[in-house]
This record gives sequence, structure tokens and C-alpha cells, in this order.
Amino acid sequence: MVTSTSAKKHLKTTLLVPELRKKYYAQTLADSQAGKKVAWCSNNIPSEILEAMNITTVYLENYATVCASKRLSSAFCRAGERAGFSQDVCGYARILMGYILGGDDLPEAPYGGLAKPDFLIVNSYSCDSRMGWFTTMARTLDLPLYVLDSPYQPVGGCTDLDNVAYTESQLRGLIAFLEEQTGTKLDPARLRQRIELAAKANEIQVEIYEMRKHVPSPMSAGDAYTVVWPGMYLIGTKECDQFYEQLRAEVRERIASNVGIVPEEKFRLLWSGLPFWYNMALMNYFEEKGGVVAIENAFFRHLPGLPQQDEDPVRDMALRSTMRRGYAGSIGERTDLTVEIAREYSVDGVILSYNPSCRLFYILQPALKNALDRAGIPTLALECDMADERTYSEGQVKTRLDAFIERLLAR
Amino acid sequence: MGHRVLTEIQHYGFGWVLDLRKDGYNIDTLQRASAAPPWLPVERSALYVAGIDIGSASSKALILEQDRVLAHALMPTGAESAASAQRVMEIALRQAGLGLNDMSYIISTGYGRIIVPFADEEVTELSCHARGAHQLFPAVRTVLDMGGQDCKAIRCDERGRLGDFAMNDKCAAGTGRFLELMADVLQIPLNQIGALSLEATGEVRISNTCAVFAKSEVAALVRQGRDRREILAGLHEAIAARVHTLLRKVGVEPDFVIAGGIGKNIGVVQRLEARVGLPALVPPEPQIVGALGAALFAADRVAEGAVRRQRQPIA
Amino acid sequence: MEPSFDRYRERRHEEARAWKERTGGKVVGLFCCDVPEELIHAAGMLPVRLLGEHEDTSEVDIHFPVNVCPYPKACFDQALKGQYDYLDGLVVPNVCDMVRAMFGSWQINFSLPFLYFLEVPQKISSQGIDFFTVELGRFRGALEDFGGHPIADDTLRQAIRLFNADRELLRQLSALRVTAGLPASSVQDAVLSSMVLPKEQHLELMKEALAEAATAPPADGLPLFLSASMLDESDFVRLIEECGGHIVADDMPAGTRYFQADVDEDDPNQLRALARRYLEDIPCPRKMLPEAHLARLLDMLEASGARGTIIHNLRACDCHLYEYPYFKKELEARGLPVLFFRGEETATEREQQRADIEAFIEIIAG
Repeated sequence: MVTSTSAKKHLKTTLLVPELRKKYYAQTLADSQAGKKVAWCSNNIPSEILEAMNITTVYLENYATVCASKRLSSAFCRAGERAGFSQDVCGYARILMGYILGGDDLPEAPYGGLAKPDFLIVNSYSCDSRMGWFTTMARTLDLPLYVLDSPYQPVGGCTDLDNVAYTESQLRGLIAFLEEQTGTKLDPARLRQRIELAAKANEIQVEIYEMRKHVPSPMSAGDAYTVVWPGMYLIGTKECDQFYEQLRAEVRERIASNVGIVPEEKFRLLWSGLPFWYNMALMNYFEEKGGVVAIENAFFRHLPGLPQQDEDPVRDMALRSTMRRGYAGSIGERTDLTVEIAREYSVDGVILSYNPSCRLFYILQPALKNALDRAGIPTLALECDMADERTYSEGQVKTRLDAFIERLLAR
Repeated sequence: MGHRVLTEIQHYGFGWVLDLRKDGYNIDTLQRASAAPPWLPVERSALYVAGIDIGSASSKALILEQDRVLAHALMPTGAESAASAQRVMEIALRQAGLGLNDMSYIISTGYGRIIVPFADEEVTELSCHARGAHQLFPAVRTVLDMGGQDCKAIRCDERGRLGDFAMNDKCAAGTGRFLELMADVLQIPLNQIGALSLEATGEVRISNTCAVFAKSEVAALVRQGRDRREILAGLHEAIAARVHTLLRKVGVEPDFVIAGGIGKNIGVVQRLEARVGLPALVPPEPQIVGALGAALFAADRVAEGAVRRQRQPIA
Repeated sequence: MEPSFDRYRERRHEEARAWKERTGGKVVGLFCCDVPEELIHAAGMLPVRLLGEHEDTSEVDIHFPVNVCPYPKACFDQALKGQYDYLDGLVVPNVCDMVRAMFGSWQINFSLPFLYFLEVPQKISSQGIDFFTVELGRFRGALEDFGGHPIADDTLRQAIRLFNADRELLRQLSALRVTAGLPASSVQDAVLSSMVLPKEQHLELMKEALAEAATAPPADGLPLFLSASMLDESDFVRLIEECGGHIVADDMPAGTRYFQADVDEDDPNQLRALARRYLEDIPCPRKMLPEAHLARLLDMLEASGARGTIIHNLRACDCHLYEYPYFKKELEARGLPVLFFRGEETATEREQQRADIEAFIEIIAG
């Protein structure tokens, strides 16, 4: 039984996001009405390409987190499970499947529901669940599906031109698919412009992450999980860049005035894995005792973008994404990165979020604990799903949090 | 490898004596309290603090006078945690010949810690078990608490301060509830299953300790005419395996202490000793370790000058 | 039946160690059906599929959480216990999340002289074939470096022929399930032994087995189809046989997926021929879309005369778990009852499975 949901926001800029989000979803509905083509996409699909072809992009994972934050996850998950999807599979997928398949006992969908798609696009390389989920949706909705593949590259970026060639061929395949579906051609100049804007937004976000090393923390996870939204779903727009410019200015100001999240920081934490979208107030739980969740590793950015690699924007995208991976990687890469983050951000402890249905993060957590133990950094394991609130037990979670806080304060 | 359960009458650090083995143990009907020996007069001017541990299965209260245990009580928690808290506190107070307002500070712990109306502060059972175990066995570094409905592996430092911990509160393995269920299916008294499990020459392999499946599986084995001691051996082995996994998450360093009701189950205790390669130290009353820790924290607070909350008298 | 194939799976570690002693060669472990073993063989090394045991997981639970696929976890457990100490190398293909995790975990916990991540595309397409062909070239180069000598084209050709020959005999053995009532457990044991033995040795055993099988008494259970995400031992199939079922066709990695398709010996570009076979012709749901996968399943089903389907998916196997509702619906619509298991791979669940399978067979037999 969850008693509270949203995180308390400490920064003014964060308060702009709900309105931006509402506008985004309303816009997608309006676009659909106006006859624009709508694509339902998984997180890593580059919206720059779609926007350069005047196609509206709807990212599904976010809608699942919205359902979860509005306390609707149980109903939708149950509907998804009734249709035969195991509780083992991704909470986001079950929520969306429940939404699509419908049912009499379902609550009203947030923001008036999702804009109806004309086709689906999924990237195959980030996790197993997306493939299963998107192929199921494509079949259920009887819509075309494009699968965007890319080499996995467990050790991170590389300069192998064969990897680049494959990635490029997949991007061009996507473009060809979209041209066929919509009858419009890609505008390379528009794509180039959006790539540049996206690169700028990334730069600013990297700066902000760097600034968050400051003690006292100018911005904690309570705000961070919200302000990450424009960078994921409005990427390539001027609005997105402006948002992050404003956020950066506010963070700078807080640092200049030495304004922290709590009057006196007694301990700093790192949240590893996904948060519990149905109870973001947990991010503030520590504040009563003088603690801050100073940093999170889920959407962390520390690598500045590469300079332009090629005149041709599509080849440029392929080159850059091969040479620099912002996502996943092998267990060793990811644990090393998290230990490094813990050190650089002066954290006293790490919360390990074992989301059983998000295999990608879940598999990693024991290895991460072992690495942090070796580094002498205290950890706490929480076992709740990121989207399915039925897995959350307030008493159990609070006991663990309270004990961890007691441990850190007694040092 | 023997384990040191204090079975004879002996001191264990507080200047008074206990003989608990003489009493029977029945988790369903037990309401016990231990009184200070009559030759120890109770002085009303002394400093008294209390710790109260409201677990999901049983509630415990313990009163300290300076550094002596004056009284403690244990009873099943039942449906109403708040009512159990009051009742168990009342019993302990009566044994000590004191009233609620004689307590300078009261700390509550356990699952029901936040609903104890007369507590001045709440501290988690993780910290309290570390502290309580440390008081009893100063060289402790690893505490395993196997309670009614959950199981905890706890590390502490040389001062009894809480270190890493891991909890298994999502499934029945290593909990009193699971053992009760099994004892019931096998029609054997709970306080005998441990010893019986050690008498088996063979073992029925049971790897599923999920209570849902284990019950029907065990029932099936009984119907097949399998030796109940061998079934018990298999069950205890499976429990020890799961608990061992939990312990390994935090690492086991000596001294290794077992708290909680299952500390009295010699079948589980010996198997764990074999697995971790260390003797298990079990206090004579393994269930009050949490309440003891809470009372010790209460004494700390008084020493720090903490002021108690406004307290309602017990109804 | 003789030769008792199951013995080879059981003694795979001793057999591999003995092979190393005899030949002085290197043993290279691998996961999944996606790795072209022919290349490893052509490099003069012994390719062995990693297989687990159903044991206490307290060791491996320190490294991996509970709700993950038990198969790679069990293999890792074997490695932690020192059972795979004889491995000189390991190839981890780009397949599913848990198998991919093996790459990083092996890197952190063991120090193998050769640990190779094979970039198998996760989509079937002509661009994927081109890329995979290049990747197999890189893989070949890495094996050559590790082995210290080049892999001649002719040697590779011979390896392909050898593996095709073994697959052909496995297909013949598997067909006897329908025509002669040969128990499926024998076939699965034959497949598992092929995964761990030197191919020449296994080919000889297969010839013996085919001769034997002609005289073996036929099974007479209810004909069933088995679809499984990964069964790395034959005890589940034996259980079905004990319950009165007879698997006449299957779709599983340690089964038909391993031997159904051959490498095209006529393609002068051998690497491309390997890329084609290993990317396009294995119905692994991580790559093959559900509609295509189902089509293959239905083909096999119709030809076999099966009267029901048992689907066994390991827990947390997203790839198979997503397909399941679709497969179930389509199979039932064709009048084929479906029995589903979400397997944990513990010894205890067998008893519950036994009851369910017996009931299922009873209902169909009617």
C-alpha cells in the first residue's frame, strides 16, 4: 500500500516539466487529428530522423511511467497479465499491453490516451523485452514494424568501420521504411539541424551532471528524474535546449549561493537502477534525516558529444553512435562506471534498486554490490518493480531505508 | 562442531541468573516473563529504560535498570499490534514491580515499531539486533536473526554498530512460520523437529522452500511412506541452504551469533555451522535480543540527555 | 539404447580433460546455437556447449539475482565450482540479456586467455548477413591468433562437411521418433552429446546408434510436440515419457534447432554460408519474429501428427515468454491443446509437473 507518490521538487525549473509533458502528449493527439503520421517508438529510436520527416514520435516507456506515477499500474498490469503476459516480463510492457488490449475495469488513460500509431519502431539491441513487446503490439494492432539493429559493443565505443557500416545501413533502412510509409522524403538539412540541437542539449546536461558533484548538492534525484524528461522526449528541439539552459543557470546560482537540498548534509546517496515511479517521494525520504540522493546512474551522462564526423548527417549519426556508446555495455563497464560515480560524487552509500522485471538493470545489481563492497562503500538492496506497484511493500521498504540511515548516521 | 547454547544455570553478564531450558517452549500459547530474583531489591530511584520489539509473530519487552535486565516478557503478537505492545509492556512492568512512568526512555523496534503508543523513539530491528547481540557476545561480527516471518543477516563492527545487512522478507524460507507449517503437516511438535532432523541417516532432497509448494510436496512424501526424519532432514537442509545464501550476501565473520526463535532449532543451527565453518553462539533466550538492543539504545539516549515524549498511561 | 549418449553429457568434463591430454589441443566453451562451431573445430580446437547442473545455487547467488534465466546462471555456477577449469576460451554470442551478461561476468571473475564476444545481429536481414559475414571473418582471425596458426579454407570446408554429416544423422535419428517410435529422450541425449564431444567421435557413435535404433522397441505414448526455451538435460523429456507421452517433434535448442539446417556447401564464400545458416535458419525468438517462428513450428507439428503441445519456458526468459500468448492462441485455434510450464529448474518442481503432464495426457487421450 503506497502512501505517497510525487517527489518534492526543490528547483523551480523542474516545475516546468509537467506542463511540457502535458503539451507534448496533447500535441501528439492534435498531430494525429491533423493527419500527421504517428510512430510508436522504443526509447533509443532517434527522433531526430522522424522529426526531419515530419513524423510525430511517441515514446512508450514514458507513458508507462506516467501511468505508474498516477497510481494506475496495478490495473493495467493485471489487464496485460490476463492477456497471458507473465509477471516476469517488463512492467512497462505489461502496462502498455493492458492499455492496448483494454477492458471494462480499466481506469481512464492519462492525458486522454496515446495518439493512434501508424507504425511501430523498435531498437533490438538494448534489451530482450522491447522486441517481444513491440512485435506483440504490431500484431495486435496490425501495423508495420521496423526493427533497428546495431552492434552491441560490450566494451563501449570503437572505431570499427564495419560496425559503422552496419549501423548506417540500419538507419538508412529505417529512413527507407519511413519514406515508404509516409510518402515524404527525409530533409537532410533539417536532420542536421536537429542533430546539432540534440548535441547541444547533451552538452548542457553533461555540464549539469558535472556540477552536481558539488557539496552541498545543488540538485538531487528528486528533481533529476523529472528534468531528464525533455532530454529524452523533446530532444532536437529549441525548447529542449532552452529548458536545459535555464536549468543550468539555476544550478549555477544554487552553487554560487551554496544552497543545498537540506540545511546540513549528513549523508549523500547514489540511487542505482530505476526508481519506483509510483513512489518518487522516496527520493525525499532521506531529507528529514539530513540525507540527499545526490546522484543516480540510470540516465547518467558524462561523455561530451563527439565533433561532427561526416558531412552526411546519417553517416555522421552512425559514426558517432559507434564511436561513443551512451548506453549499456558489459557488466564490468557498468559496475566500474557506477563505482567511479560513487567516488566522484562523494557518496556515503548506494541504494541498489533490484527491479525484477527490468532485466537490464536487475542482472547487474549483485555484481555492483560486490564491486562497491570491495570499494568500501555501503549498499542497500531494495526489491521492488519500477512500474508495477503491487510489488511494493511500504513496511519492508521503510525498514530497510531506516536501518540504512541508522547505519550511515552512526558512522 | 558444538554450539554454545547456554543450557545450565549460569550468569550471562547482568548479575542475575536464568534457567530457561527447564521451561517448555510453545510458540502458540506462550506468555512468559522472567522476574528478578527476590534477593535483588528494586530501588525506585534507579534509572529504568525499556525496549519493546513488536515482531510480526511475537512481541517482546525488556526492562533495564542501569546495566541489569530487570524483567522481560514475550507473547504472540496477534492481530492487534498496538494492543500486544501494551500487554507485553504491562507484563514486564508487573514482573519488575514498576509503572510505565518509571521508564526514563522507551525505544520500540520490529515490524510494529511505529504503532507503539508509549514509545519515545523507533529504531529498526537491524540496529537493535546488532547492539543486543554485541552486549551478549562482545566479539560478534555477524548476527543471523531468524524470526517468525522474516530472516535477517546482519554485520556489525567491534562496537556493535550496524554494518551491511540483507533481509529475506518476501518468502518463507528460514522463518518460524515455515517450520510451524511443516511441523503441522508432519504432525510433530515444533520443539522436536530440529533434533529429529539430525537423527535421519538419509535425506529426502527438497529444493523448493516456497511454503506454497513445500506443503503439498511434504504431504505427498508422507503419503508415500517416506521416513519423517528424512523428510525433516531434507527440509532443514533446504532451509539452511537458503539462509546460507542470505548470509553470504553480507559475508560471515566470527563471532557468529544466531538470534530469533529458530535459534532453538538444533537441526538448523548445526547445519548452518557446518556451512559457514564457524560455531554458532545462541543466547539462552534468543528472541529478546532485539528488545535488549532497543533498551540499550534507550539507555544511551538518556545518557545523551534525551527527553521522553508525553506519555499516555496504559489503559 | 547403446551407445548410451547420456553418459557423455554426464562425463563431459572428464571427456574434455582427456581430449586435452591426448591431443594437446584447446577447449573453447560457448553458449547457444548461434556460434559457428565449425570455425572453432577448423582452428583445431574443441567447441563445447556449456551445460549446467540442478544444484544448490548459494554460490552463484552472490553474482546473479534470483529472477533471471537459470540456464546461464547454472553454467556460471559450474565455473565457480571449478568444473570448467579446463576451458581455454569462451565465446559469448550477442543473444539475450542473460547470455550477454556472461561476457562481463566471466571477464570479472575468471581469467581466460580467450574470451570472445560474437556480434550476432539481432535481426534477420540481408544487411545483417553482410555484417555477420564480416564478423565471422573477425572471429576467424581471432581464433587464428589464439591458435597460433591460420585456418585454411580447405580445413574449414572439411569442418563444415563434418558438421553437416553429423546433423544429417541427427535428423535421421530424430525422424525415427515418428516412423519407429524412438523415444525423444534418446534423441535429446544424442544432441547433448554432440554438443560436447569431438565431432568425428560423435559421428561414429551416431552411425552405431542408427543401426541400433532399427531394432529398438517402439515407444507407444501419446504423440506430443515439445517447445522449450532451453532444456540442458533430458530429464524433462524423460518425465513426459514416464507420464505416457511420446515427443514426436520439437522446437528447442538442445533438439531440432541444433541440427535442422545445414551450412550450404556450394557457396564459395564459406563465411557467408555460415552467416546464413546461423542467422537465418535457427528459430531463436531473439531474432526470428514470432510469425516466422510460429510458421516453422506449425510445419513441424503438422508433419509429426502430434495431438498436443507442451511449452516449457525457463523463468525470466523474456524472448519466449512474450511469444507464448500468441502461440497458445494459434495452437488452440487449430485444435491443439497446450500445456505450459514456467520452469525454475529445481528438482522439486518435477513432481508438480508430473501431475500436470499426466492430467494433460489423460484429457487428450480422452
